[in-house]
Amino acid sequence: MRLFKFPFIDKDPDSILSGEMRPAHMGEYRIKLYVIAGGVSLLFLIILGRLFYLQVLSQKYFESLALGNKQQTIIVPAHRGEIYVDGGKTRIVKNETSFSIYVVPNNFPKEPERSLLVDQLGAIFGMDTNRLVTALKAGRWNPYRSRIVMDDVPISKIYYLAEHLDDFPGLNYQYSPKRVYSNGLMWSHIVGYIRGISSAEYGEKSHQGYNRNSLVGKKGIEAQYDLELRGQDGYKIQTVDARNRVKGEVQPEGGEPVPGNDIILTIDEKIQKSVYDMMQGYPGGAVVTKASTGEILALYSYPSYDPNIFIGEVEKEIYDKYANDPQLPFFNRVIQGEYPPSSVFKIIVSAAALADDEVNFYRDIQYCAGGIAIGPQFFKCEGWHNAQNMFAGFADSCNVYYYRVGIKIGSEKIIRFAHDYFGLGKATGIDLPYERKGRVPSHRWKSEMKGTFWWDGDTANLSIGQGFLLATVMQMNTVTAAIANNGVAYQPHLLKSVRSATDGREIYAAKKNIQVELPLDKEKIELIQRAMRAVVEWGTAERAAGHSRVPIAGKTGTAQNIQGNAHAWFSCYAPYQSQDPDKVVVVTVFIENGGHGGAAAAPFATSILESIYLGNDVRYNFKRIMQGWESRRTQYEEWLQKRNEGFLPKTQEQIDAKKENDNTSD
Amino acid sequence: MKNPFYPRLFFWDTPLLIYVILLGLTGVLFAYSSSIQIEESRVAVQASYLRQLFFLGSGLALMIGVSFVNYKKIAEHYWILFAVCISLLLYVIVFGKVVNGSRRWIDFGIISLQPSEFVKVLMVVVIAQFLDKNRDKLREWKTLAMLAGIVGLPIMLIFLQPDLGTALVFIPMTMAMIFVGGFDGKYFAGLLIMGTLAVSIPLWLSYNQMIHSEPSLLIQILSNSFYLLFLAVFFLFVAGLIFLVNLGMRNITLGNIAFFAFIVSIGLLFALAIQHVLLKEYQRERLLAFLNPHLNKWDFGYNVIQSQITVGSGGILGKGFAQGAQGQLGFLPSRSTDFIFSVIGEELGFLGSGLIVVVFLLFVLRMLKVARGAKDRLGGLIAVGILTKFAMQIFINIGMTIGVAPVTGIPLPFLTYGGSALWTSLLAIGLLFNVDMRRYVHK
Repeated sequence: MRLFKFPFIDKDPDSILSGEMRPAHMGEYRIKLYVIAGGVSLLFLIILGRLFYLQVLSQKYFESLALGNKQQTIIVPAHRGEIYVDGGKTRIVKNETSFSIYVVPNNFPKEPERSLLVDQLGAIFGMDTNRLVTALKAGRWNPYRSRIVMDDVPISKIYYLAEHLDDFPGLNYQYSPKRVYSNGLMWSHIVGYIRGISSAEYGEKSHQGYNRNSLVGKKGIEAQYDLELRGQDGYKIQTVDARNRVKGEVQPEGGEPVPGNDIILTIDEKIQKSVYDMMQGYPGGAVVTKASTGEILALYSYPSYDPNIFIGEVEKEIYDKYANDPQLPFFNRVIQGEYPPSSVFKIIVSAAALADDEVNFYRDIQYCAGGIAIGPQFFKCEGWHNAQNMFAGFADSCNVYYYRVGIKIGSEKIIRFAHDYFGLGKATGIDLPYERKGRVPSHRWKSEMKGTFWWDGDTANLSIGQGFLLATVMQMNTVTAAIANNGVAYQPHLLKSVRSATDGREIYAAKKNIQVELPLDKEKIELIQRAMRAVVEWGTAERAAGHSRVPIAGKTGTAQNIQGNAHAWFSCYAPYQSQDPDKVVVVTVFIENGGHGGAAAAPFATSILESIYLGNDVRYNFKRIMQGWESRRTQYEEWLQKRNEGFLPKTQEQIDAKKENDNTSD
Repeated sequence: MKNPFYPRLFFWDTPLLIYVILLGLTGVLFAYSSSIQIEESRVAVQASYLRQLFFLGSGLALMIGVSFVNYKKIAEHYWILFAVCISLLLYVIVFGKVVNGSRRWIDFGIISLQPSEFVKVLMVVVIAQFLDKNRDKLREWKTLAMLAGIVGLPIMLIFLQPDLGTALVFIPMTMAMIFVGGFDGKYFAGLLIMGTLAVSIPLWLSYNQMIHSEPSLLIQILSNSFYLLFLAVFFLFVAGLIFLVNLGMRNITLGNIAFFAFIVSIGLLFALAIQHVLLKEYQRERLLAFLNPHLNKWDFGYNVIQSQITVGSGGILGKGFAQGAQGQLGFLPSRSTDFIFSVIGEELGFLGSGLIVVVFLLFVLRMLKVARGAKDRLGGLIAVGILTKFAMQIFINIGMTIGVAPVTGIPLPFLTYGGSALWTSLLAIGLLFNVDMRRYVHK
C-alpha cells in the first residue's frame, strides 16, 4: 500500500527506529533552511520583478529598440531632371550611375570605438571624416535613418565595403545617380551646380520635402528650378541582421521615388558656343537674346568654372584655385556685375529727350569744343566734334551734346526713364538666382548716401551713363531690345519648357512677359534706331561693324573707372529694319577693362552676329574683322601720306610739277 | 516486499520529477526554436533539438541509475571523488579545448564535456561528507584549514581556467553548505567579510578607473598595490599584536577583534591577488559591463544590451513560439546556450518567461523540502548544496540576460542546449532523489 502513500508525510515510524536524530527535527537546521528558502525566493523575486519591468512596463521602449535593431530607412534618391537646350535636342546636364556610402548612425559604434573607426574609414576609403562626424551628430535625432557620407565612390572601394560589411557597423552603400555637366565650362554660369544640402538650407526647406541627404541646386538653373528638377525622394525599409547584412526590403506605399522633370532652355547651343569661343581670355560678359520674346539664346561670362568639381568630394586644390582666382570665375558678370553703362546709356537719354519733343533730333545743334565747363568743373569729351545735332552726337558719342541735353531735360526725367521705363535699378527678373539690381541714383539717394546735394555736374555725369549709375549687362541688353523691338522688350528668360521625364509630355511652357514699354511713338524710336545704325555705319563702331554684311545697329560704351582701364561696352541688334521681328537678335558684349567700346567690344559682338547670320566660325569672323580694320588703317595712312604730299609740296621739283599741273588744268 | 526495488522505485518525488521533465522538454522546444536561422530570407533549422531530446532521454536514465546507488556509499569515498575533481580540473587546464579565451572543455571527439559542471556536483558530495564527518570538530583550526583546502583548491583551479561563472556558483554553494552544516557563526561572518572585500575592492577600482579619466586621491592610493599590501600587513600586525596581548587574558571580545582584523587582512590580500593576478582583463570588463553596459556597448556590453532588448521586446504575450526576430536575425549572441532565456522571454513574453521562473522557483523549493525531509545530516547537506547550486545557476543565468547579474558562461539548467550540462543537472537531481528515496531506509 506504500504505492499510494506518496512522500508528503514527514514523520514515519521508521525514523524513530533508525535511532538517529533526523536533521529536520533540529530547530536550528530548520531555521537555516528557511533562511536559505527566503534567500532563494528573494533572488527569484528580483528576477520576476525585473522581468515585469522589462516586459510589461518598458515594453514599448524595448520594442522600438528592437525595431531599430533590424530596420533602417533607406532614402532612395529620385531621378533628378536633366537639362536640355536647342528645344530639347541637346542634353547638357545628365545623370550617370554611381555609388555612395551611407551610415545608419544607430548602428555606428559609440566612443571610444567611434573615433577609431572614423579614422580607419578616412584611411581606407579616403572618406571626409568631418562629413561623417557631422552626419553622426545629426543622427542623434533620427538614428535609424541613413545619411550619405561619401559620394561617387570608386567601384573597387564599394567591392571592398561589400566584402567587409561586418567590420564597418552602420555603414552600407547604395546606388545614387551622379550629376554630370558636359562641357561644364561653357554652361556653368547658366546651369550652376548641385551640392549636398547645408543644415541652414535644410532648416529653411525641410517643409518642401528636402531631407538631409538631399542634393540641392546652389546656383544657376539648378537652383532656380530645383523644385521642378529634383522630383521626390522615395524611401524603403530594410531589414538587417546583426552583421549589417540586408535580409529583406520593403517598399512602403507612397515610398516610391517620383522622378523630377526635365528642363528645356531657350539657349541655342551653336550661339552659346560662338559666344564661349569669342569670350575666351577676356574677362567680361556677353548675352544674346531674341528681341521679340526675351528668350536668351546665349549667356556667358568669362572666366567660368567647371561645375563638375562640386559633384562628389570637392578637391580642395581645384576649389582653392577657383576661389582664389582674382578674375572671380564664380562671378556671373552678366547678371551680377554692376558697371557704369557709359555711352550705351545715351539711348535712354535720347529717348527721354525725344519723348516730349524737348529736343529735335536733327535741328537742335550744339557745339562740341572738346568739353564743357559746368560750374567749377570741366567736363571733357572724347573728341572735338564741332557743331552736331543729336543724330551725329549719338553716332560719334559726343559727350558735350549729351551734357547739354541732360541739363536741358533735367535729371529727374532721365532717372524716371531709366528706372521706370527701361527698368534700370530693378531686377530684370531673369530666371537665375542672385541677380543684382544695379543702381539709378536719385537726388534723395545722393543726399542720403553722400550727404551732398545734387548738382548739374551729377546730371551731366548721369546723362553720359557715368557717375553713380550702375547697370548690369542684362539690363543694358533689355534697353537695346526695347529699341530693337519698337518700344517693347520682354522679360529675359532661360526656361523654354518643362518636360516630364517619364512620358516626355510638356508640362509647362514659358510665356513672354512685357518688361519694358516705352511711351514713345514709333517714329521717334525709329530715329534712335537710325542713330544706332549710324553708329555702325560711320560712328564709333564703324571700323568694327560697319563693313559687315550683317546690318547691325548698336551703341558703344567706354566706361571710365578708377581701378584700371575703361570697360568696353557694345550693345547692338541685327538685322536693322528687319521685316520679320522674330529674326531680330540683340547682343550685348561687355569686356572688363577692355578699353574703347568700339575697339574691344564691338568686334566681338559683330563676330557673334556674323556667326549667327552667316554661319561662319566666330574666331574666323573676328580675325577677318581685325584684318579689315588693319588694312583700312594702312589704306588710310597711305591716303593720309598722299594727301600730305599733295597739300604740302616739299621739294622744288614737286613745286614745279604742281605749278605745271595747275597750269594745265586751267 | 519481494521486489527489492519496490519501495525505492516509487519514492521519487513526483512533483520534482514533473518539474524536471517539464523543464527538459521546454529545453528541447527552445533548442528547436533557437536553431532557426534566417539566412537570405530562407529559414534553416538545424536538427539540434533531436540531439537535445536524445540527451534528455539518456540523462533521465542516468538520473535513475544514480538514484539507485546509496549516497552514503558514494560519499564514503569522498577522497577519491575529490581526487577525481582535482584531476579533472587539472586536466582541463592543461589539455582543455579553448573556447572564448578560456580552457573549459574536454574534447572527446563526438562530445565535448565541461568538467567544471560535473565537478560542482561531486564537490557537493565531498564537502557534505567532510562537514558531516567532522561535525564535532568544526571549531578546530585543523578542520578549518582542511576545509579551506578542500574548498579553496577547486576554486583556485576554476579561476585558472578561468571560469568566473562557475566560481560565482561555487562560492555561494559552499557558503550555504557551511552555513547549514553548523559552522561557527563567527567564522561564517568572517568568511563573508573576506569574500566581500576580495571581490568588491577590485571591481570598484576597475569601475572607477574606467569611468573617471582622472581618478581621485583615494582611488589612486588604493589602486597602488603597495598601499593595499601595506594596509593588509598593518591589519595583520594589529591582529597579531592583539592576539599576543590576549594570549594571557583570554578576553573573548579582544579575541574577536583580533580574528576580524586577521580576516580583513586576508581579504585585502585576496583582493590584491584578484586585482593584479587572478582576474583576467576580459573578466573584469564583463563584470564592468554588468555594472554599466552602456560603457562598453560594442564589446561585452553589447550582449547585455541586446539581451535586454530581446527580452523587453517580447512584451506581455511574446511574439509567439519560434517567431522571435531578435534571436533569429542574429542580434543575440550565443542564443541557444547562455542566452536561451532571452529567446524564451522574446517568444513567450512575460507570461511565459514568468511561468518558467515560477516553475524554477517551485523546483528549488521542492528541493528544499527534500533537504528538510532528509534522513541524516549528510543527505541534508547534499540536498542543500544541490539546491543552492541550481538556484545560483538559475539566478546568474537569467539575471545576466535581464541585467541583474554579470555576463558569465553559465548554462541555464535543463534549458540551455548542450549534452554535458543537461547530464550533470540530471545527475544532481539523481543524487537528490537518492537522498529523498532513502529517508525511510535505515541501512
